[in-house]
Amino acid sequence: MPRQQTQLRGPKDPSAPKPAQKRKNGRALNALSIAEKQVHTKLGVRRTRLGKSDEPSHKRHSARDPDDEDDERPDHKRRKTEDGESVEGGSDSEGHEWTLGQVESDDDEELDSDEALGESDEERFEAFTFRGSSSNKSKPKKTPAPKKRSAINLDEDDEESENDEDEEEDDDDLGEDAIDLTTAWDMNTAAEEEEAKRAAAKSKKAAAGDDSEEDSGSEEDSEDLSDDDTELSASDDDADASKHGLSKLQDFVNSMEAQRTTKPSRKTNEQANPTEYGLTSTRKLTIADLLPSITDSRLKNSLKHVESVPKQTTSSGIPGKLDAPLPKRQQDRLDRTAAYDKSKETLNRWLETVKANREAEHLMFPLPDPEAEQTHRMDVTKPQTDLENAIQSILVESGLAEAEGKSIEEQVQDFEELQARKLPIEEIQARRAELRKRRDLLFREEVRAKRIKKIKSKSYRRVHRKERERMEQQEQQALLEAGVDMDEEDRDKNERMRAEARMGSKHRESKWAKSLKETGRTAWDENARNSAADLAQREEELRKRIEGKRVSNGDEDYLGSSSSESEDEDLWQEDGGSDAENRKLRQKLSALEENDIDGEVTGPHTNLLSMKFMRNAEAARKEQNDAELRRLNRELHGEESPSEAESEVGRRKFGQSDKTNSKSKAKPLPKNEFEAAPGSDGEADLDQDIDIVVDTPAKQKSQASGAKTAVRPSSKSSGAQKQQESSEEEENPWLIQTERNNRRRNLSDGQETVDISLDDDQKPSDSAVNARSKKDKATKAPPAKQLDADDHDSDDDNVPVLLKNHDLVKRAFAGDEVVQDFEQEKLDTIEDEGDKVVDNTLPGWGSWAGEGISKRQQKRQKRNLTTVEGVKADQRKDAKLQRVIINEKRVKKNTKYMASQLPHPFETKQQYERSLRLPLGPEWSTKEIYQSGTKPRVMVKQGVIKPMEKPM
Amino acid sequence: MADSSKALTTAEDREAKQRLSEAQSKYGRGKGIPAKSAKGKKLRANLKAVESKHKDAVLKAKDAEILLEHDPGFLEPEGELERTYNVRQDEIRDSVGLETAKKGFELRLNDMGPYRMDYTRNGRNLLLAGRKGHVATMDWRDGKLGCELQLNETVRDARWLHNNQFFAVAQKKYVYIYDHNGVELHCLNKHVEPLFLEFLPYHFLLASAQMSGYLKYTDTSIGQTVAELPTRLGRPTSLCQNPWNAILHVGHQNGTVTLWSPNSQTALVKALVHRGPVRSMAIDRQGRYMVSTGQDQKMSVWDIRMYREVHSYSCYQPGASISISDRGLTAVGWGTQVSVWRGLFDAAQADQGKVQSPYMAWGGDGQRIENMRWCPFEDVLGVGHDQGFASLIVPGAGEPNFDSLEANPYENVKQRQEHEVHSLLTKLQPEMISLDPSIIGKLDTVSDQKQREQRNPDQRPEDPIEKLKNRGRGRNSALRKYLRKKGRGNVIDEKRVKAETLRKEHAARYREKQKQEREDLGPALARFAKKGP
Repeated sequence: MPRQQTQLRGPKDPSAPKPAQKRKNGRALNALSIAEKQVHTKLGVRRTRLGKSDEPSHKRHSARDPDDEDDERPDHKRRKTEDGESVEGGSDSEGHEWTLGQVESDDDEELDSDEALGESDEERFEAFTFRGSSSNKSKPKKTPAPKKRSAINLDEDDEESENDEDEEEDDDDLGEDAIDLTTAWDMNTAAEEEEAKRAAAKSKKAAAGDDSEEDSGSEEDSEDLSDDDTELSASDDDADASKHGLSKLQDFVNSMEAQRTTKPSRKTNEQANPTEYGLTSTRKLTIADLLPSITDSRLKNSLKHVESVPKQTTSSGIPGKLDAPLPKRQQDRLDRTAAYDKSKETLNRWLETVKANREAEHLMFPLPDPEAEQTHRMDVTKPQTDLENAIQSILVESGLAEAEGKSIEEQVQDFEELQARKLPIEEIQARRAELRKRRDLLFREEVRAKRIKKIKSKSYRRVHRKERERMEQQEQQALLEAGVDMDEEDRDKNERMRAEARMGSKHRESKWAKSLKETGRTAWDENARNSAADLAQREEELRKRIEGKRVSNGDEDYLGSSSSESEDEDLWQEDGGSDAENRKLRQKLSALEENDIDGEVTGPHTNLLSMKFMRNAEAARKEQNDAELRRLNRELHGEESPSEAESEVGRRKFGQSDKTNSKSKAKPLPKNEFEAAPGSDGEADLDQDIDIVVDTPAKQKSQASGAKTAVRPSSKSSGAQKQQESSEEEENPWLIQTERNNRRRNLSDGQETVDISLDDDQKPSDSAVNARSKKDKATKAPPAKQLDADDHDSDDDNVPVLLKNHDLVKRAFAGDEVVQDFEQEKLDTIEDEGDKVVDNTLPGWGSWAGEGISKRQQKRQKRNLTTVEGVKADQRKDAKLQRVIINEKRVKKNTKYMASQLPHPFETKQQYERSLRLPLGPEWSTKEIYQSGTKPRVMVKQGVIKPMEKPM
Repeated sequence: MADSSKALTTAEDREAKQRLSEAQSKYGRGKGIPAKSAKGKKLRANLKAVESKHKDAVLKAKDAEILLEHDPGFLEPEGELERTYNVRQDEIRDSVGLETAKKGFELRLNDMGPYRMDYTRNGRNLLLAGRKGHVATMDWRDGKLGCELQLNETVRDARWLHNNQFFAVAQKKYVYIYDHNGVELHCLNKHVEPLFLEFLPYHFLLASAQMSGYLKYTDTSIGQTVAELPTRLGRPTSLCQNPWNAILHVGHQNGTVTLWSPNSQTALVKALVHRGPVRSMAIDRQGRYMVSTGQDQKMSVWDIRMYREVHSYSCYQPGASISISDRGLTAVGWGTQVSVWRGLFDAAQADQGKVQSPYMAWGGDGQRIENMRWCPFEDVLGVGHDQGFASLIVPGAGEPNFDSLEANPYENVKQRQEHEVHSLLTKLQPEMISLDPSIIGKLDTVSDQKQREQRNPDQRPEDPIEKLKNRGRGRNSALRKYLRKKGRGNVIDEKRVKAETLRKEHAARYREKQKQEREDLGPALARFAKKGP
């Protein structure tokens, strides 16, 4: 279809303006020659003009895509509606149309009509008469010579087309072309005349007009294009108008004649015996003819196959409709592009590999072959040396190794494999399925077992334990009922086990017990007290048990109820509900009673048990049991006396919390026995206050103010002394410093002083207050201080000595003005390293200098000062450190080992320094890291390294 | 099933994360920088690789802990009333194994005055130097005497050099170097009247503090003087080195401690630590804390990263000697007694109060303590006093796991030789010494800036107003301040115009904002809108 369109495109094309002219040309050769000249000159221009569209046209030419439509010129669209029929109808007689199209499309491009209608074409079309009066059709009939020429031309075509691409040589070729065309035109005119005679008047003329338009259009076309676009469009319109008229007429006729037969069909009719209505008698109406009329898309879809089938048949039916081979040059170019694409594709396959290798941290040549690795398999080592041979033989003899290096298992496996080969495949599959199933099951079992093992939840354990116990109990019961008494040993064993369980510290030091102790909950919580008492009772019993005494039977139950693992938990639960334990016991007792009531003998030994002596024994036992139960019940319900007594014990025990409290109070005392120093620290500072009062000048006002704020709250208690104290503190830099630097520490110091002063009768009060009041006192009166020290003396020998020493030391160093010196030095350094003003004034520069200059004039001279920037006082590293001077000078020798500028790939300092942060040496990292860090990027093994054969 | 597996994986993830964070906290080297911060693709990839390497290294290091076969431990009291400092040496000797018990011994050397002593880096050999000229070396574990010298001259200090083959002795006039046979090899006559010696093992630098107040460095590998630094603070009273950054700390008469590197003629840092002369100092292995004792009967703990005193303890007598073990036990010798403190630095780190009582104690029987050192990789404290030498067993003092690449207590001759060559090959240059040892390879920002400026000299200087633009609002905004300070004069120039327009803009913006706020609040509440800046 597209082909037809392209072909039809021609006629409507810009060639349109010229129909009248052309005719004239056709009639008058002179005019033609003129035109020829014109064409000749203009063709060159056209080339350049159409140079752009070169490629697409080629494509269209070579590939014959359905995409051809894309290349349609805009004009075409306008016409499309009218041509619709003709387009559709093309399916009948594609052949003609096609050739026509060929011509036209060629027209568009460089190829001329002669080329398009090659030898083969002409042969093929010999039998046909073309509807249009185009020269091509007439050629075969009239002029064999041009045919030859065209053939020759065809040969030359390649060159031509090649040359076409080279714009320089265009002209020559075009010249030739032009010559061809002139002849063609000659023929055109002749043909037209003939046609005019022969064919039916109007329609044919119109058609001829079309065709001739096309032919000449090829030139005119170009003319127009090159000449003037506006003109072209105008002329186009003209042509449109004229054509419109013609085609309309045609359409009308067509519609009259045959319902919806299309142009092509009409053409064929023309070639055969055209009737007046354009329908041949032989011709039948096919479905294909009707198809284009269908507008319903669904219907179209359903008829698709109908459409496609005849097409195929027609295409296959006419084998001769091959394309003219492309000119060699074009072909070569196409080949080249194809080859290039291919090679690109193959190369692209390597991209990944190359990229991976480039990015790889290490490369080892020869590169490992991934496939080889997969197939690699350990071979059975064969003994190579004599020694190995000997050893192997010995091994074989002794049965430790198999002769062929295969173990027995392997042999068996081989055998099995062999056997399996004989079996039918279904069976093997079945076996495998079976095996898989079993494995699966096994695996699941394993998983389940694991899971069960893993479950550690207390509740799970408890539930299971309870179950277990119940079972055990039942068993015991059964045994008891059966009169089979448990072994003495067994019972002993059980009891021992339980006792041991009780003996562990776990019981006593359980979370719950601890919490009871800690919180002292027993004091106010009834429940807690009860349960604590309970615990105590148990302990008591245990002790008895350990001592070998027998305890009342009730405890068995209690043991049973809360034996084993999760003691704490049970206790926790119990401590919530007051007599949960009791309840449990009761329940059990009632259960026992019930058992007794409906205690019909069941079980395996029924016969035996039903015997009389057994019954007697049983009755006796039952009686005993009942008595026991009754006693227990009584205990539980009625008199709580024993438990209360126990709880008394418990209270006694758990009163311990008070004890611990007292202990904790007492604790601090021994702390000081060795190290009295820290405690005295704060005091020492205070002492200093007194001592160094004299020598410190009131220089550091600012500091003093800081100190004041720190001290203020403390001095509140001793209102009047406040002032004095602060003034004193002002004068003591040491105190100030310590207070400033270790303000945080002050509190702890204070506490420490409390520790010391605990023994002081004078200040038994709260810690901080104590310390502060002490401070005040110290500042107030040194003798009092001395007294204080004496107090300590009575307590501990070391402390006062130390304090005295401190006193002495402070006095000893009182004269040293160490601190002031240091401060001064710091100020000096700050000044030294800070901004400096340099006087660059040149005397006499811009003013007079020398002797006899008055003071005023001297003053008038402009000072030239420059400031060299240093480190500002508040930006120093030691700005906030009072007792430290940090040198701000740059150490130049160190810069030798620093990077003078940021190395290339890095963008920031942080990135660079981070990349340096990982040490390479073996001292700082593990061996593995060291080795991987120092491994060379590319390692090459000795020997020949083959290039990679294929991408990995 | 799927759920459980998912839960498992998350649990595993959590475990892995925890493991990583643990490893990072112990072996990590700072926070990583996000690779996204890099614009370059290649750089980004590189950074990513670096980070993964870091992570790998950290995890491997953590995994390698399994190779540490010994666990450290201390004396632990059983009850609250028990005190570890009451435990006497003979009790310890009775209760430990025979081999360990042998490590506690005493040498009676009554005649040759107070002894100073030193251990080699691997703890094998002991060097004793009596004030009156008696110098002896010995393999103290075997009790084998190496050499014994009578120098007939005052000996003020003695030090092992890089291994047990050489030692330096600070004698009356000069520093001398002897070999293991006691043969005098060198006389360093540039070191006049040395008081203290210190050897920097990685730099092969022997430093001495002189009576004149000079601090001198000599490179023992090439025998050249590296630096002579005047402290200008008179006769130094103590000297010690920071093992982390090879900075020397010198204590002075006036209670200051100065920090020195051979690269600067002035002290890097000067700190007033004590009121009296600084009697002795010691720095912990990681270079974080300095403990010093002064004549003012104080023992102060300084954080030498922040140059801040963290704690100050009082002593009964001025501490004469102080030493810090590998595991952070601090031994203080005062008068005739030695007390060992435990957890001084932990307390400082945790910001707790001071440590209340010492960990162990020794002495009190009339031997004035002169010098003390911890034996590396052993739970042994060597004490040099005026009547000889005592080796004390202090449980938990030494590093239990040694790194044979660093110092091998069991090295043989070959290993020693190899190690010597290795350490000479990897010797650090004296110029590398700095307060922050990690500067090597780092970017020198000053020169970088300079280079940048050179590279494009056309770059315009920063516009001060531009910088002011978006900073600060309110009454004291940077712009207002600028206008106040600089815009006062009668000169109207470009800058001022700019600043003023900017100011107007700000004001307009503010008004707009206020209006908006008023509208938002509505007619009733509009009066509560925030008033002007």
